[in-house]
Amino acid sequence: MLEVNGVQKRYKRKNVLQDVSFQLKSGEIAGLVGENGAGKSTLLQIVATVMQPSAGELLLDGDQYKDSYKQLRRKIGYVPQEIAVWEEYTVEENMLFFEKLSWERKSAEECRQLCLDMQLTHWKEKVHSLSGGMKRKLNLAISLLNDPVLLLLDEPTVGIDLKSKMEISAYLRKLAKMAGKTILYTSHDMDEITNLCDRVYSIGEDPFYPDLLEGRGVEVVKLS
Amino acid sequence: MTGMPAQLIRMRKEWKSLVCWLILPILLTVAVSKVFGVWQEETKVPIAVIVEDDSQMARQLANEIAAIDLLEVRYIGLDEALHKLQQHELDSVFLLRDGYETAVLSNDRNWLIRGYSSNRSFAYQAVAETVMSIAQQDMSRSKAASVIQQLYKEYGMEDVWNYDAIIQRSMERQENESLLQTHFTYGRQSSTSEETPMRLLNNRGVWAFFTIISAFFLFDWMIKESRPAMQIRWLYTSISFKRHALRMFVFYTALTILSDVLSIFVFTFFLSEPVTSSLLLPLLTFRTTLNLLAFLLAIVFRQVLPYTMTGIAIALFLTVTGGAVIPLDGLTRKWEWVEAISPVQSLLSMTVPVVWMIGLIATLAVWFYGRGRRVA
Repeated sequence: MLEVNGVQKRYKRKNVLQDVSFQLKSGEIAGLVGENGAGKSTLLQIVATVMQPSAGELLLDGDQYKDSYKQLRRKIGYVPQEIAVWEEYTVEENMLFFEKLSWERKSAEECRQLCLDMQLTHWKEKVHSLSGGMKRKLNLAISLLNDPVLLLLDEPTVGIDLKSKMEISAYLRKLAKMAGKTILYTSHDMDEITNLCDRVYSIGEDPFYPDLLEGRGVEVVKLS
Repeated sequence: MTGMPAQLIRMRKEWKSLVCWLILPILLTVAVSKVFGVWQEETKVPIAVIVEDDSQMARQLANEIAAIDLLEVRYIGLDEALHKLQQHELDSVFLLRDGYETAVLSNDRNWLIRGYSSNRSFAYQAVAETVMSIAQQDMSRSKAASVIQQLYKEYGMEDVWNYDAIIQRSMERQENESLLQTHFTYGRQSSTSEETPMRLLNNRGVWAFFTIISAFFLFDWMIKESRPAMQIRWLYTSISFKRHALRMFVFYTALTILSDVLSIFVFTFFLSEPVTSSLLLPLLTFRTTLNLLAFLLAIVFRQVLPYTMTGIAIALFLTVTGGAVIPLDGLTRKWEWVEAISPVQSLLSMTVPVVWMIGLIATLAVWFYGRGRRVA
């Protein structure tokens, strides 16, 4: 479904990513781990079409990235690390605003149900009054309005309470197993990674993360 | 909200501030104009004119003094006037002495008018000069009539024109041919001393100042919606951020034009501003120019506060260089390009700010069709 072949990324003379290749199938959840600056966010942004690779090719459902970035974006849901929502709007207003701009039409009730599915119940409340966990859920819900087949999450549970973390994890698992979404996400929480992921990709030279994950019952693949 | 375009959600959300920024320039212009009008009335120089001579010439002189816009003339007795002068309630007192007309007709110019001032009579010299210049007019007319009558007498034609007929004819000529009329121009509005009172404040200029500021407050949504964290969302939407922003621009411009139409009616009703069809195009282009300026500048800024502060500075600059505060008639006659500095100047002179329009539309096109932020 997602194929990443020999992807490289250079910033001036520095190689951030070198010959990265992997494949993800439908309904699979993959984690991306590595120390800060190893290139996790860069790889995620390349897969999300936010950034172009210096070399290599990417395919989504057999379509080459370089041929149709705009078309592929319809199939991708990207959850940035920053909470990209209107703080002064309510949950409802945020959802309806982005629904009107999305490729897929949804009724207000469907938007509300999407939020309820991940235990985001504060439909009429302004975002600035919500907890960090609720904001993260809204951040994720907006990215799902297009019904993407590939969901990319950049540290989606950073800095939130355990309950919200578990609710988000449960929802992601449900999305993958029941709706067949392919999920690639980065995190520094190894418990979350091992509980949720079918496979973990380790990026960077440091053996810390592969060593840490050894014996936890999850397949670890070193990328570069 | 379900059937509403995304662009209207922000308008609906912020309708109170939206209405406030649309209406505020109109209200502030009316308020400033009214307050300034009262202030201008109160800053007239108070003087007293005592007419001792019961003649038409003396009464006419007193009326002409009273017709001067910057003077507040009171007709009271001499004793009361001098008392008020001592109390500094009057700036100065002028006494048209008994026998004024007789003296003028006999070409006697000494002690026709007596002036009184106090140590706080700041305007005495200026007022005295004005009164004397009007009296001089009477005396010149009388002198001219005497000379003409003398000439007729020398040629044996004294029964053709008598003195009164010459004076009367001279006054008719003055009135019909405006021989001694003073022309004032202020902010391209010309008027004579006989027409409507001179206004030191230009209502359209005041409105332009407040409107420029309000435009910057109206268009701050551009900064809120284009903040870096939100930019990533626009990659996955059915329309680009630029297209969305352009639609918002059209919605906001439509609203501001409606408020401009409202302002025309309000100013006509409350400030007696004349409405002419020739005002519509300059007003429309001024509004478009202003909105484009606020919109395009918002692209450059990351935070609302520096943006609005810049808006206030730009409002001051454009209002001053547009001649709304200090008339630029002299400068524009010498250097025509001065007119192009500010779109406010175009509004006041009822023209289209062509240079601004072309520049801003070209900038908008470069922004819209340019690559902008490097995103794959």
